[in-house]
Amino acid sequence: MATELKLSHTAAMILKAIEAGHVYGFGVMEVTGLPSGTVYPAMRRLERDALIRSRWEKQSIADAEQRPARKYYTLTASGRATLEAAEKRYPLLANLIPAHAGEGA
Amino acid sequence: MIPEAFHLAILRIASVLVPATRRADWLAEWRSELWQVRSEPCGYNATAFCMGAFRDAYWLCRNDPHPDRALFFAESPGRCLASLALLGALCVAMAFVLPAARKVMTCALYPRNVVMLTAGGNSDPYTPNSFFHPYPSVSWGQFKSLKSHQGEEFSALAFYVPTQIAVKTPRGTRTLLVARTTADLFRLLNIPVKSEIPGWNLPGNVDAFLIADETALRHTKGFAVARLRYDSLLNRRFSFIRLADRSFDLLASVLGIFLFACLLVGLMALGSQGRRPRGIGPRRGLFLAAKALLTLPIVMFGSLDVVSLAGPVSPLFFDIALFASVVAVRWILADQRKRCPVCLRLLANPVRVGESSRILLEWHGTELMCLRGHGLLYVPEWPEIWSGRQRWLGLGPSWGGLFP
Repeated sequence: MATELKLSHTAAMILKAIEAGHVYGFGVMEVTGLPSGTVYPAMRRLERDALIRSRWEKQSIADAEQRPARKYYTLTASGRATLEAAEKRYPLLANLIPAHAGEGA
Repeated sequence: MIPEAFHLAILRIASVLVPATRRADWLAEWRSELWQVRSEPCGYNATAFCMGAFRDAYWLCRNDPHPDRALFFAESPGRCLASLALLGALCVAMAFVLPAARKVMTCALYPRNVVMLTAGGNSDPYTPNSFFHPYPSVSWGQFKSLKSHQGEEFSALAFYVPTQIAVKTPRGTRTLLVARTTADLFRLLNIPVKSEIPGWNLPGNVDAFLIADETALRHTKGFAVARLRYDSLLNRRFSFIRLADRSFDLLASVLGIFLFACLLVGLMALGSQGRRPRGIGPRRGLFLAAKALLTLPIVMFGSLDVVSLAGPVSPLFFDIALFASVVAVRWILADQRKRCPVCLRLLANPVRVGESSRILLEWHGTELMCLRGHGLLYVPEWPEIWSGRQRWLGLGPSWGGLFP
């Protein structure tokens, strides 16, 4: 059961950041203050465990903004359930990660 | 600002670790993120960001569900042997490139009749002929006595004495090891006298040669080099060692070290190997022997390369060779155990069976499978009295339908 998964504090922070609307790697890094060598491997593991899923942004949107296309991450249903359980375990998580005006997600 | 090409190069190098099927997507994501980092107004450290790619790539490689692709060079027996041969050739080539190793290599190519004479002694490492610390043993008087027999036993004979000389250079005073030598040294070596002696590395490891007369040579012992007419020396007061043999003996000593490591690791591994599957034929043994033969030059020349990175070749060479031999022999045995005894390909799809803390008196360990359907290998996690060794279960032809 995904809800039984116990997340580390770092993984919970990343999950919370994605839920708060920081939906690509660098956005997560900025809001959590974690280095790239921690954030990206953690996101791969979360994706492997089906807690988040990724999709590439449409090229036309990226072209319009004159930048490369981004890979966006969103929470899955089991990811939301796991995050709820993690928030009970880490009550200050919501205070650490401010909400973000949704981008692309 | 550091150019973007530098950061892209870091990402490309890191991408080598990523499994090929995911590499393009991985690189595209990191390039996209890099663009974001570099366009940040607050100046995020893009180099530190890119270094994190190595960790990401490493974990992707570790968690790759298809590890057999990463083992492309070792999977089939032919590719394994070809990779070892290639690595051995690379180590030999490196030995000719690195200056200290090149001295050893070129010494081994000297003509067989060019020898170093010593007053008494033999080729024991603590004698004047020692490769690492040769010391002069022939006096001027002995050299003159030898010179009188030149026509009979030697076609040429020369004498040199290494001396330390302080030389003033624009960067300060430097101590050089200069050899005062008789003029016939260069005739003996068949080289014209000029500013350097290309390709020759005579005992003493001197920086320069200076032609001197008797008065400069008669007061101290030196090295005597000769070109022999025959294969032996009549004068019993002197012994000789071929200059080529000094290098050859050094490299050949690794063979003894390697055999010692084989014996040591073989004894340690004795008993951990399961029963030999029946009806396999000699292919498995031949493959093991071929691996050992191809690994020997890697150990020999690889150790020489490593020790020569730190300067002139020193006795540390033997320590490195011993360590490399033990590692190599361990790898040879471990690799052999992970191969199918029939087709000699690496076994794949490891599956962990059981859990020691939950299963009482039941088998627990890892099960590996031959992708060609020849059988399954059971490797116990802990050696118990009833299942202490790994066990090979051969599958009959009726199982063929399950395998490609």
